[in-house]
Parts: sequence; C-alpha cells; structure tokens
Amino acid sequence: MPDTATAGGFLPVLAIVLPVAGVLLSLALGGRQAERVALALMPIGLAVAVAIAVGVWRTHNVLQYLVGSWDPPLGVAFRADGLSAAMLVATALLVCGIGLFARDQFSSPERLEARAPFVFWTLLLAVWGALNAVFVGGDLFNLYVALELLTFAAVPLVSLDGRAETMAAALRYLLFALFGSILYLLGAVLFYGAYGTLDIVLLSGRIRAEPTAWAAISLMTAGLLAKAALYPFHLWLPPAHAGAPAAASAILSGLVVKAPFFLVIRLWFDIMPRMPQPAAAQVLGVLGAAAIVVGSIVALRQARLKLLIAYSTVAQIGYLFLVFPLAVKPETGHPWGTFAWTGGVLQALSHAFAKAAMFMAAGLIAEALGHDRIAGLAGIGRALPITVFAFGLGGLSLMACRPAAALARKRCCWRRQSRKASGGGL
Amino acid sequence: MIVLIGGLLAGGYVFLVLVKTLADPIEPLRLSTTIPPSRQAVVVALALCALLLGFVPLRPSELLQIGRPDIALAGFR
Repeated sequence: MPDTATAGGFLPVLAIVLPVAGVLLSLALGGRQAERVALALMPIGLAVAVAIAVGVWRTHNVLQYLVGSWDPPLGVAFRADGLSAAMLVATALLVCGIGLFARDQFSSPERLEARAPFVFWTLLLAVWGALNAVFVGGDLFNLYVALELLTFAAVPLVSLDGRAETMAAALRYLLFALFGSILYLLGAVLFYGAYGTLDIVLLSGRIRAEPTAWAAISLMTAGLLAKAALYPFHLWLPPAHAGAPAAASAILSGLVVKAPFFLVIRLWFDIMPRMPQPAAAQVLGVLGAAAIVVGSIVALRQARLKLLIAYSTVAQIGYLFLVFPLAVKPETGHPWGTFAWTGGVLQALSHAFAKAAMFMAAGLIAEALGHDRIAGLAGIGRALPITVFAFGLGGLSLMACRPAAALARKRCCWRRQSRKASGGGL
Repeated sequence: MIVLIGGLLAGGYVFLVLVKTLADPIEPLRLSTTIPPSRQAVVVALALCALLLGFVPLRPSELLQIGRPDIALAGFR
C-alpha cells in the first residue's frame, strides 16, 4: 500500500466533496433549486465513481489522498481500494436511479417552496456524500464522523411525511443508531489509547492479540451491528423502512444499512488481518443465520407489502454476515482469495439493487392503488405489468444468489480438502 | 443448509406476493393515479442490474482484492 498520495488520489475526495457541495448549494439557493442541483450532480458523481474504479483497476493499487500532505498518524488519509470502488459505483448508479424515480414524487412546485421535496433532495445528496465518506475513509475517527453524518441524513428521510407513526419509527431508529455510534466511538478511543493511531493501515501493523484490542473491536462491532440492524438489533428497521416514502426506503434499505456492514468488513479483514478469529466469525455467522430464519418467517406473515420487503431486508442482512464464518478460515489463507469473499460482496451489491427496485415497485403499486395491503393486490399484475415484473426480478435475484453462495461454500470446502490431500499450501 | 432454508423462505414470500398480483380481482380494479412508464422503466433497470450481478462469475475477483493487505494478486491470476 502506498505511503504517499497517488496519482488520481483526489478522486476519492471529490466523491465526498461533490455531494456535500451540492447540499450547501441547495441550502444557499433555496427549496426549488434543490432538485435541479441534485439531478445535475448525479451524472458527475457517477462519472467520478467510475473514474475511481477505472483508476484502481488500471493501477492495480489503492488510490490514496493525504489531507494537507501530512502522513498518518499526523494527517488523515482517504483510500479507495477495489472494494470501495465497487461500492462507490453501485452507490452512484443507485442514487441516479432513485433520483430519476423520485422526480415525479418529489418534484418541487413552481412557485412556492415545499418542505418535503427540499428536504428529500438535500438529504439524498447528504446520504450520498456520507456513504462515499464511509467507503473511502482511511481513519477510524473519520469513519465515525461519516457514520454520524449518514445517521443524521437518514433519520429525517424516515419521517418525511410527518405522520406520528413515522416520527416514532424515526426516533427509534435514531436511538439505535446513537447507541451504535457511542459503542463505535468507545472502541475507537480504546484503539487510540492503546496504539496511538486511528489510521487503518498503521493500526493493522501495530495491533496485537491482547484484551484491549479485543474489547475495542467487540465494542465497535456491536455498535455497527446495531446500525446494520443484524438480528437481534433489527427491531428499528421494519417500521422505519416501511414507513418512509418509496424513494427514501430504497436508499435506506439498499444503501444505508450497507455502510455499517462495510465497516465491519474493514474492522475484521483490514485491521485484524493477522488475527483470523474463527470464534468471533462464528458468532457473526450464527447471528446472521438467526436473522435469515426470523426475518424470512416474519416476512411471510406480513399483511402489508412494504413491511414484507422490510423484513426481507432483515433476512438479507443476515446473509451478508454469513461471509464472516465462510471467509475467515485460518487454513484458507487470505479471506479475500476465497469464493465466499467475492460472493459476499456480490450479494451486498445485488441486494442493494434488488431491494431498491422492490421498494420502488411497492411504492408505485401503493401509489396506484392507494394502499399496499397484500390481500388487496389482486389484478395489479394486469394494471401495472412492468412494475410487477420488476418486483419479480428483484425477488428472483434475492433467491438467485443462493446457489451462488452455496456453491461458494462447497468450493471452499473442496479447495481446503484438496489442499490437505496434496499436503501443500497456496 | 441455512442458505437453502433462507432461499426457500425468500421464494415463499416473493411468490406469495406475485401470485396475489396475478390473481383475478373480485371487483374491477380502480387505480387512483396512472403511473408514467418512465418511472416503471427505472425500477426495471435497477432490478436488471441486480439480476446481472447474479451472473458475474463467482471466482476470486481481482478488483475486489486490490488493496487488501498482504495479498499476492499474482497467485490468483
């Protein structure tokens, strides 16, 4: 990994600065311009994300930017690696899709300044900026700030329509998220006290298997699980995601819960690479498995379409965490060489698109019918065939990743076995 | 095992909804608004992205390994 700024290193910073500049510009120009600012920034942001991916791919290295040219631990680094690049591109694509979708729902009235559209477009940019900051942040405190930004941008999206029950859902979400932030911050403080740095690369070199490190990483993981809504911390998710307007649900369910998951990956695979921890990975795997079963069964019993999709998110988050027991095996060498690692990341990306599409389809159905009770959906397949088709495609890709993941596990076992048989390592 | 159970349950709730939407309505459906095709197209496009990601060959991906600590990329090429 490079110690200095690399060519193209400004791109990760640009990915954060663009949406944030958009938020400030929206605030300055006033309500009616927010939509135009957001829509104008979307193609530019997408281009930046693609440029980052191309840069990472061509140089086969991390794009790194050091703020003020100060080396860590004095300065702060932004790094975009392959995983960040994939997440950045997916996020940009999704934000563009959501923006196009939301143009009708949140179009600003010509003359007067409406609250909901202004808040929606501003917060959409804020969520985008915060997500990009999570994906390229190279420093645990910076990542904390990004997480907080994400929380404070995401919570108001839940209660955009201002009804009492969505306010309650938003407040519950806020409580869980703040609880998670505090645990994360405590862990970061412990790391700083023990090793004198918060930079991820420096930490991974200095960390040792000792109680402080375990305490810190456990606290941070617990906090992130609360934010990612992994079972049993999922209680806040269904009312929040089902109560938000469709476009907002798509962002929340597709993207916002992926950020804490991404950070758990950073913690366990980047900071602790020399300490593969099968026991901890098993705990995450068991929680993930419980989430799959509980989330899916509860989803089957829902009477409202959006709640069904929200519980399906609870189950799908469980799938994401299965990557830990599947990829962290001391004998397989590096986890990122395994099929499970690729499968896990693909699952996260595919779920983001599928869930956004499903929430938006549900939103269209609810708009057309005036309700989203599953019992009253008869006939909508004929009235809105394209929408129902999209819903089915989304559902299909939720299921279609199963063979892929199962195959990943089989291949892992097979490779381990064959290596044992031949007596050689990688 | 758990992956299979989860897949079956996911299939269950998706088909539950699809079967309902394709059923014949008891009384003719009255839509409160018409939905422009462009919005439906966006939703289909995103769903297709999700589906296409499912077809990405499942092997250790080079892009996803760039920047992971201590790796020998060459070993996987």
